[in-house]
Amino acid sequence: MSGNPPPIKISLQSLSDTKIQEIAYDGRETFIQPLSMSESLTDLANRIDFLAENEDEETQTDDATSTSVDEAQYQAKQWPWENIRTQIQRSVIEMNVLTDVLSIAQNKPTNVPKETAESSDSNRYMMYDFASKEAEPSKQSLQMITKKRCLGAASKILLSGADRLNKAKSESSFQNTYHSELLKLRQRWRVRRVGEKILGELSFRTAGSDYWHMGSFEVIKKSDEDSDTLDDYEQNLTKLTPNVPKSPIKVVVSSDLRGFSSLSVQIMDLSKDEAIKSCTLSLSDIENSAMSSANDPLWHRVLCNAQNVLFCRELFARLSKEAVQQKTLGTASPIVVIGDTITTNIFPKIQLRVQLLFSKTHPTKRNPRQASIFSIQNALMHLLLRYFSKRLHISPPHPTTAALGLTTQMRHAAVHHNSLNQLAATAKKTTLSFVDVLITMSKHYEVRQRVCDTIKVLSNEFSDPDVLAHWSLASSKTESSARLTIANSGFESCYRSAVQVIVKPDCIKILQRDARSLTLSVDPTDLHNYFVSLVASHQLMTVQVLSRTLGWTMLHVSPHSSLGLTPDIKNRGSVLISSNNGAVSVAIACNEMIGGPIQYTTHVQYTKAHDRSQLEGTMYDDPDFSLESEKYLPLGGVWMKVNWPQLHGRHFIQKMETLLTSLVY
Amino acid sequence: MVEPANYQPLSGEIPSNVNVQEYFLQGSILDANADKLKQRLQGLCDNVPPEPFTDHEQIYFLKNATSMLPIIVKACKSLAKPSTPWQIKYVGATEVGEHNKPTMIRSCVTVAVSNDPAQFLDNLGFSLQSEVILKGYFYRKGRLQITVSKISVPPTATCDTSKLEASASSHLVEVNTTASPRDETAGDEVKNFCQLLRPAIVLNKVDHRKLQQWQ
Amino acid sequence: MTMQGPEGKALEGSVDSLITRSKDVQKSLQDFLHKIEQEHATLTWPSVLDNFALLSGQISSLLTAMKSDKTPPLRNYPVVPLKLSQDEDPHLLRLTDGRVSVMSHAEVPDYLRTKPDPEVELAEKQLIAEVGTQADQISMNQVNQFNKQCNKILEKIKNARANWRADVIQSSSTPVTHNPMATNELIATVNYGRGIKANSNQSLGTTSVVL
Repeated sequence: MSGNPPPIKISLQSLSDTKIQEIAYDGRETFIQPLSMSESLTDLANRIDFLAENEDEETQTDDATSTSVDEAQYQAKQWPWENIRTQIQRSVIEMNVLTDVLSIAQNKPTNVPKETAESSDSNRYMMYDFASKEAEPSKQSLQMITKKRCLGAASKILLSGADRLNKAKSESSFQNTYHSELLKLRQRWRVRRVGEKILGELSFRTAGSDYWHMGSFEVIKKSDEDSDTLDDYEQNLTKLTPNVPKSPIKVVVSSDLRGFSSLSVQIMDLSKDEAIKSCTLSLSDIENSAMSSANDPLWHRVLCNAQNVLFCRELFARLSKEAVQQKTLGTASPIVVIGDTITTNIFPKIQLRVQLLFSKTHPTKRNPRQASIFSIQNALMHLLLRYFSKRLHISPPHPTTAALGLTTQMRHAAVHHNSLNQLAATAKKTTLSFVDVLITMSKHYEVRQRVCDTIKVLSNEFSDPDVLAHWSLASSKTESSARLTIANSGFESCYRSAVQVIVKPDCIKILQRDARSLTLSVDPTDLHNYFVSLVASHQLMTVQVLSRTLGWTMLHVSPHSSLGLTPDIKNRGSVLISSNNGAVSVAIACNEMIGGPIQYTTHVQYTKAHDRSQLEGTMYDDPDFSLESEKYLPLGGVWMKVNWPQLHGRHFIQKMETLLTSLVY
Repeated sequence: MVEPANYQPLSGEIPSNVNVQEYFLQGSILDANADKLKQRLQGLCDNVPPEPFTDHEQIYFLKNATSMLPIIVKACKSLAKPSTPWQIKYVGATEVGEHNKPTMIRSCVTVAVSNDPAQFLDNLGFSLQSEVILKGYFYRKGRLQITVSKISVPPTATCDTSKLEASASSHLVEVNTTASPRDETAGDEVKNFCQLLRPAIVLNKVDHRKLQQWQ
Repeated sequence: MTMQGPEGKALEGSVDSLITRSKDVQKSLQDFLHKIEQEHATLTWPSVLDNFALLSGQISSLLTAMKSDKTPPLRNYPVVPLKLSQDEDPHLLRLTDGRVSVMSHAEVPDYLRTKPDPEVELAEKQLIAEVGTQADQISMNQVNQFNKQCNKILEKIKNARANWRADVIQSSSTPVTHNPMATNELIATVNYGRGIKANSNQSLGTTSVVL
């Protein structure tokens, strides 16, 4: 065979996609023209059944939206981790491949009992072949570049972190002062950290109190935005002292401790319905300047106030508890406790009222006109402190095996002989009753006031003898004493009366110079009467002494004669004196008009000796009457009244002196 | 009329079967760290200054016919305040209790006596076993009593130093409270307080049976 | 079958260790992924960082295993496929933890390919292009300088760490505060009178008991 066969022409015809519409009898084919774009579109559109799809969509949208929402959420949530997730997925795939290849190539026999026939060799898919290969030279510059880039990225992260730390450290002074303020708070108040919060305690438990209120507060760091929102309470606090520096710490105290509180004790006169005396007591009274100053931050003030409220409440709670249980009454009426007021009538018409004042917004105003009963204030404070310390300072057991909680006396009492009275006495000594103390003190106060007033009234009434009252400095809260001196001016060396008045809550005791002691009741009229009689007897005594010095003799002294001629005259004593030679007698009576002032009525009867001459012609002229009876001559004289106002002398005694001296000559 | 044996004319209506149990935990601390412990105790306990005490304790044994362990009675006298009365304390066996019990429990009865009870106990059959002087500080928190003390030997006794070498440089710390056996919170109180003292000192239950047999 | 004896043993041993290390890495990766997927809501950065730290530790141990002296140079041992089959093989399943059931001609190219991913290849090309233009001497200088700087920084870090460690160590040791022997002795002495003998001279006086 030579030469190539001639090329054969092959004709190709592509498959026609178009459909044949019809084939005419002459073999011509009519094709259905392929749909043009618009036509195909309309065709498709005709196939869409809009109604049906909408229905499907409605039911599906809910599911779809919910799933899509879930997915979206899922996506959104994962978004922070998305990158990491994809990277980790890729690495998982790579690692899987690596481990699979290695383990297949290694083809370690797995522990399967069934297929023991498989030897590793026959089933091996891959193995390691040995082919030595030269080590490739290390591309240092390439490595360097990659390492540099990686180090750069890592150091950038570290630097940004360090920058942030630096910035935070040298940030605005707000952060610094927060910590320094916290330190200051800790220096003054007990604070501790509980989890995320900082809590503190302002109750008096460590001092020995057993009040139920926890007194805890929370310390909150103030952010910059709300540093200026103070409510009424705090605004009032800040008004008190204007120099309040702003601080980044806010203290939240329980709402029943927010406010101003104080305890007020008032003694009211019910007949006039006004307070005679009152005092208000709050912790701020005993604060000394070392504890707080005008520059204290707001939180300190808030805490101090809260503690004050707690203190007042505790004191009031103790008082009311005891008042309700009070059995032995020293009062005129039972003690009534209503809400925040304790009232009782300590004397008829005198009421003692103790009130707990609490206001959320305004500090309790003290009425400046009313004087303050300092002693009651002090006493209540001391009682509470004593109670606390008694609870806290239990005498420890010596030896340590002894029982806890007994006092030394009780320990000794356990092993020594005792009588019931002794035990009762020791028990009584150790109990403190707040209400008792309060009542006794207020009674004492009241009685003392009365004594004071009576003395003042009397000394104003009697201008004649000078009445001096000297109150002793040595007095206790239930007893005080005064020394009354009555003297006539100019005649002090002549005679002076002195009397000691001891004022007790339930009675007034008088000690006289002659060692007699009288007990008067607290009724002011008693005292009034006594003083009047004292003055009267003083005057009469002075007269006696005076007459003695002038040489007159005392004939008769009576401290009290019967009632005078009219019932409204009370006699307070009378004296009868006669002169040296017996010629003159003077009778002095001291009378008090009931309802009126005291007046002295002095009757002087002076009988001069009858002149002989006068007696002539009378029966006395008989020579039978022997005139040894000259001593009888003074008898039978006429009593004459002394013209008192015209007598020379400033006061009674001086006038008496004038009288006596003039009568002799 | 014969009165029942447990008739107590002076006690009145108080039920006489109120036993008192002592709940306690013991431990020791080296002398060097005793100061730190004292400071911590002062902060934790009631707000009173710590009370120094010096006690002379005499331990009396009575051989018991029924059980191996003798009956132990301690006579304690305070040397710091000699006018306070002597105390006699009877301690029962220490129950370590199960693991869920927080403290060791033993029954105890403490009575004050007027004079030295030596002769009284002697007549009952007790014999003086040993005596020891405890000197230290006493703290109190509520009803818990805490003592930190150092042991020394009174002049009337001889001391076997070989057995006491380790304790010469340590203080003994004991936290206890007395309560009735029905009171369940006493043990927890003691335990909670001891937790606060960690890690300065760890107070645990000590097995007394082993110690007793080391006689 | 062409495995030389001792070398083959060495290879097997090292490959075993490689397998274990890579399995560790794989497991921790899977755990991490699972954690992200399930707990993405509560995941915090510190735990993520912990996982990353774990991974980096494991990878570095894998690399050290590869670089260690015991492993013969791995480049001398290419993996050669021996057999292909379309059947499922349970042995294979077990070997690969259920991922590969059939070793057929479809898997082998995938599993044995050495061409890196397109992105990786692109990055490599870029890097080579950057580097290739520099002269050798300059690149040597750069490399040396870089090494020096790295060393200096390393030293600084080491010093700082030593100082920091010293402070930390001083305060971390808890001092011994009590001696348990002392506890036992003390309690025994106080309660039971151990170690102290009383010289009791008790005179037997009157026998009356004072109550």
